[in-house]
Amino acid sequence: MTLAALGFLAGGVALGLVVGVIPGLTATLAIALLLPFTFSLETVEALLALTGIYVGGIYGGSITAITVRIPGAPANTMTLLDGHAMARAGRTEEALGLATFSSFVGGIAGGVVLVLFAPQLARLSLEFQSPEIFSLVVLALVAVSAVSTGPLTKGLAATTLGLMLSTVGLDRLVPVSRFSMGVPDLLAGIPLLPVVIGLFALSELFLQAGEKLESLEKPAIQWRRMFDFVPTVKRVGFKLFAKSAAIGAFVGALPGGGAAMSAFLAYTEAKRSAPNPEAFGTGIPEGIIAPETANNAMTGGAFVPMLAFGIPGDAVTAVILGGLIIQGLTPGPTLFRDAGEVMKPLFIGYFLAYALVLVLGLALLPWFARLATIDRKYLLPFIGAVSLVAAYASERTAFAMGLTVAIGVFGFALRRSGYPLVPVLLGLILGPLLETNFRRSLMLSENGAWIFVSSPLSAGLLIGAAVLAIYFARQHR
Amino acid sequence: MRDRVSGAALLLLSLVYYFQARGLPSGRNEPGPVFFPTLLSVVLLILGLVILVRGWRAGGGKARPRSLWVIGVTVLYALAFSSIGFAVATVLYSGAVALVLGRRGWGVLVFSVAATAFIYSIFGLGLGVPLP
Repeated sequence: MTLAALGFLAGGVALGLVVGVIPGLTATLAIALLLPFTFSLETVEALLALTGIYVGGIYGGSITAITVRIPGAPANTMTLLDGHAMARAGRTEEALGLATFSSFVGGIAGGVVLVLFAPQLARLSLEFQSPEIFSLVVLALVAVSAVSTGPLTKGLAATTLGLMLSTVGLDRLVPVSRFSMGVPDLLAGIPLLPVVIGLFALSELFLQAGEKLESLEKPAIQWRRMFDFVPTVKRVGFKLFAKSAAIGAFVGALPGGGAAMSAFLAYTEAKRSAPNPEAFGTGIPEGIIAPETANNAMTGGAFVPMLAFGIPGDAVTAVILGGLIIQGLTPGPTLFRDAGEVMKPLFIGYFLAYALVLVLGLALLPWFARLATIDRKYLLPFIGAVSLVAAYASERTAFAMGLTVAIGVFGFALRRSGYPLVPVLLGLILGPLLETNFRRSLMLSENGAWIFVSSPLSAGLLIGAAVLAIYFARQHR
Repeated sequence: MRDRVSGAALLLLSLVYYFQARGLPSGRNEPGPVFFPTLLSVVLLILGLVILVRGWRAGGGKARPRSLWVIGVTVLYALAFSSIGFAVATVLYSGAVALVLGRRGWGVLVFSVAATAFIYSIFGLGLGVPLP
């Protein structure tokens, strides 16, 4: 690993922290806007920069949840409950220290899972033929539709819309162009970056333009009290960390799991098993430790299905997957065999990113936290202009910019009507994998669709998808 | 109400998509290019119907006027970008959005010029993207 690569990693973490701390900016947005830059970087540098933003963004979101009661990302919603209650009780520094330390512990645990399981699972993926890959993608798409906000039907509709977007362009098995409406720019399919920027940056701008945009008060944080959390950690003990990290890494490794889900489950479990469940939400340290450990352990877990199968667990890993593909790497066993010189630095970089979170978090947090008060009436137009120019730069065509605006309006309409956006992106990314393996299976099959249930592995994955769908359909009644 | 609208929109979309797909080749013995899109349009049709019929209420309220203003300005920017050039378009755009969001005075001008210069230094100078 070169010094430059380390620089990109540290820059990524710092940037992730900045966007995490500013309400309304998420790591997905930062990565979407930064992808055009990674074109010009070396593979390792690009991956480390993206990893840094991911890690920094998930952690940074906890800061505003605690100081100003606005979660920096959906993953930090649970942290807000006890975190802000602690801050109001004058224990801001302790809460922030706990969030930092829990993020570090969770991240390292997630990293261990990543290093241990990703190569194994990638080897296992060799067993996956077309029917099994199809069923795995179905499971992932159902999972992401189910865990997204809103009822299952809306999640599934969003997924279907994403799959429809993925069918635009040349067919992958037969030389026929589909739905390209005579536009040459669409022959190669709908490009990824305009969709990502439109869905996660522009629609956010349109949505927030309609909100109240008062400036927030500056949170007062005393640096010398930043280590107040140490005695608390000693009192709470190791068990809660271990349990939350396990939940987080497991949820992360499920295709479609995601950070918000892992934090929610860890919080619920901590509350359930506590001797004093009623104290949760009134500002107790356990209420920060559980979700923050889990959602950072999730980041490690989320890399596993992405690297092993090419199936991302959430929006950020989906975009990182896009970055991998842009760099000419294919997820799966070959990635670990042939691209060892990429995987090793990625693993090391992941651990270093969390070391940086701990150091930067504890040393510079009082200054980072002030960014929450930035004037959004200027920030939003700036983000808008950057998004549009980044969209132009991604393909260097005015068409890409127009497409981005169209997707942005589309995403805005979806959000306003209560549809989640992450499934749209996953549908677009996984569509080709789903369709080609679907059609290939049917070509190989001697008795039609039975091929999907005659292999036990494929049948098991489909049953898993069905169980998930039924469970979540009943939840939202 | 809102769900009835979005459900109906999904229905309409699935039909448009279905008729767009119909002309595609179907393949002889194996599923051809038309197969998967047809399946998707059926899935979306069913989901649209379910959402329409159940008519949940979610989200709520009309789109706020400021959102619509920002969308309008953004569409104009994309249309004008190539013809009036990056610099003019970006100064106007970032200024206009700041005005829509309620900022007034000379600060807006300073901001929009500074933002444009910053974006140019990153994309134009840093990445070497030829901007119109």
